[in-house]
Formats: sequence, structure tokens, C-alpha cells
Amino acid sequence: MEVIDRYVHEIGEHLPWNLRADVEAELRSLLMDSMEERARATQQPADARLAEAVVREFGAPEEVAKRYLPQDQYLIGPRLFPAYKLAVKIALIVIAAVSGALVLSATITSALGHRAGPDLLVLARTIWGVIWGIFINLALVTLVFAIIERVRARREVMGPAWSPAMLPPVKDPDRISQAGMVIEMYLILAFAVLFNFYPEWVGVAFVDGRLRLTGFLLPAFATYMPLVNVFWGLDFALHLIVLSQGRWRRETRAAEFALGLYGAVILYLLIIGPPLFQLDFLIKAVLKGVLALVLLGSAVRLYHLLTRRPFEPWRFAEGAAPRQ
Amino acid sequence: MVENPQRVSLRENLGLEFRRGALVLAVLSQLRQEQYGYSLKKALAERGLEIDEGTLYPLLRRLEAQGLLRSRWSLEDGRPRRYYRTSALGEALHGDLAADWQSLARAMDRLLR
Repeated sequence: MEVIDRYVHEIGEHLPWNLRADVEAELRSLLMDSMEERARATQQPADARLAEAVVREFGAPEEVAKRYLPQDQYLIGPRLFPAYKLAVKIALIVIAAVSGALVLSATITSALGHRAGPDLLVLARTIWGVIWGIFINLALVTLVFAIIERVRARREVMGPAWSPAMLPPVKDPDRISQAGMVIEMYLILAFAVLFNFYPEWVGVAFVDGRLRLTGFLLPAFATYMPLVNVFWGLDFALHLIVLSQGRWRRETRAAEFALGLYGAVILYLLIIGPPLFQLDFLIKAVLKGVLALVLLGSAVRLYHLLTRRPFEPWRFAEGAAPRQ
Repeated sequence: MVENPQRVSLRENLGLEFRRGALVLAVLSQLRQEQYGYSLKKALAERGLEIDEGTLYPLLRRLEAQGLLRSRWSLEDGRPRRYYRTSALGEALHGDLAADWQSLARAMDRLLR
């Protein structure tokens, strides 16, 4: 029966290959049973018209196929979706602000550089860059959330059963901000993509009304990229682990401290290394400041790790005893 | 009398929700004897539980994937048919769920009286 064959085939098209043949064979047999029974009950011939009535009752192929698939298959599930929507909104607002400034800057500088009016080519390129930027950024946000969804699903399956003893204190220094962690992961990915795949776009600027690649990173910088990539990879993995555990733990705090020291070593190597940037002296002065901040951050983390208390210097200044 | 469409839609959705849970128990109860899909549908309908085929057959596959049913192919009158029956786990779960159902039904009876 042609209608049955087409119907069964269409359902099979929406199923994974390992289920397809088996489900198709069973459906074909069941539909034929249904047709025969109906023909007998209504004293009608088992023809194409009856076959159409049977498959119509069965439902749209896509809907039927969906029922054969495992339930709750999400890229981003309902629990994370509100946070995802918020992150997309924030990303769009940031991109809109940055892009608006870029387009405005391109319009003004190209108009100033050319008396005949704005350079349309520069404008078109800038707008194309903006569209591409939106695409890349939204893809990164989606990727981060999809990873979190997988990690959380695994934690729920493999993790221990919840008990009241697991409730954290109201004021909990180890509590994480999920949104903050996601933004940090997004930034790590964004920097990794930029430095690895578009290094020429680091330090891009408008010069005489045109978007110019300034060659900010000198070729020698590439030799440091493996070290930097390892840092970003470890940092991303640490964020994932902390997110999956739901809060900071002693082990992850220790890993954060170790990672901070590793970051400080990379910064030190960049500072003492050969010229790596345009305006190398100036940039390295900034890096020295960053290194000082990183070391300070590591000291604070070490204090927290050893005392298990947050670093609150004003409490010492006030002469109050540290909080228990 | 025109029915309130919101009431109709809510009744449909809420009704579907408690029916969905009951279907698993209904299917397990009938598959303690081996049956193929269409004969199961008829057995359920004869006992007053109409269920559309597009829902019933995928449910059988899901219960099999969960280890509650086992199945085998058999050739009858030149047509291959897949026969299902409860596994040991399905049998045990049927007992548990039936007890839960009876207890819930008694409680609901008292509430609705």
C-alpha cells in the first residue's frame, strides 16, 4: 500500500539510523493490522482511502517519530533557558553598543578622510564585521550554555542524593554566581578564538577613516601562545568543574590558586621576553601592573584557602574579630 | 450551550497529564500475557481505555528500552509481528505501581466524596 509505505518511510526519516529499520517494520505491520480490522468492521475495501484514514488518525509523521525518541533532549533545557535568554540579551546589548560605536566611528572618520562623503566600502565592511561579530558571539554564548547543560545533566545522574546537610550557609563565601561564571567562560572562549584565529584583529584601529590592522602583536608573541592556550584551557575546565559542583570547594580553590601562579609565570615570561607588542615598553609596564594584581589575588586566595574565611581587611582595621 | 474554550483546553491538558502516568500501569497490566501492538490496543479499548496508536506504540518501545518489557518478532499469516510481554523488572514494578494506584484511588475517593 503506497500511502502506508510513504508514511512509514517519512517517520523513519525523522528517526536515528539504529532505530529506523526496526520501527519501520513494526509500524508497517501495525498499520496493516489496523487497516484490516477497520475494513472488517466497516465492510469497506482495504484501499488507499482507508489507508489515508488510518494514517491520518495515527498522526503527523514528525510528531509520531518524536514520541519514539528519548524524552527531554535539549541543547539548552528549560531550567537554564531563562539564564540563556538573559545572557543573549546582555551579549546583544554589549555588541549593539560596541558596534554602534564602531559604525559611528567609521562614518565620522571616513567622512573626515574623504571630502566627497563617507567611504561606503569602509562602512559596508564595518557592518559586515558587526554581523559576523553578532554571529560569533551568540554562537559562543550558546556553546557555553550547551556545555553547562551537559555537565549539569551528568551531575544530576551521577551526583549524590540531596540532603539538608548539603544546604550552604546563608552568607556563603563559596557560593558561585552562575551568571558570572558563564560570562567568564564566554570571555575565555572569546579571547581564545581572537588570539588563535584572528590575531591580526588584536589592536585593530581606525586610521585616516579606514579600518587598519596595526600589527599590534609581533610575530615573537606566537611562541607564547601554547602556554597561554594551556592557561585558558585549564581555566575553562576549572570553571566547568566549579559550575558542575555548584560552589567552590577546597580542591577547586587550590586549583584556582595554582592556576593564578601559572598565570603569573606566563606574565613574567612575557615581561622579560623579547619585544612582543607594538609600543612594547608601554604594554609591558601595563603587564607589570597586571602581574602585581595577579600576585595580590593569589595571596588573597591563599589566605582564604588556609583560613577558610573570606579576605575582609576592613574587619581587621575595625579591630573586629574575624567572622566564625 | 457554548463551552468555554479555556475550560476545554485546560481540561484536555490536565486530563492528559494524569492519564499519561496511568497508561504505563495499564500497559504493564495487560502485557503479563504476550501481545502485539494492535491486540494490546484492542484489549485496552475493550476494558474502556481508548489510546491512540501514535501514543501506544512509541510507549511500548520506551518501556522496552527501560527494561520493563521484552519483545520478539514472530511471523504470522505472512506478516511479521512484534510481541511484547513484561520482563521480571516490569512484573515487579507492575505490583508496586498497582499498590500505589489503589492507595491513590482510595485517597481520591475519600477526597471527592
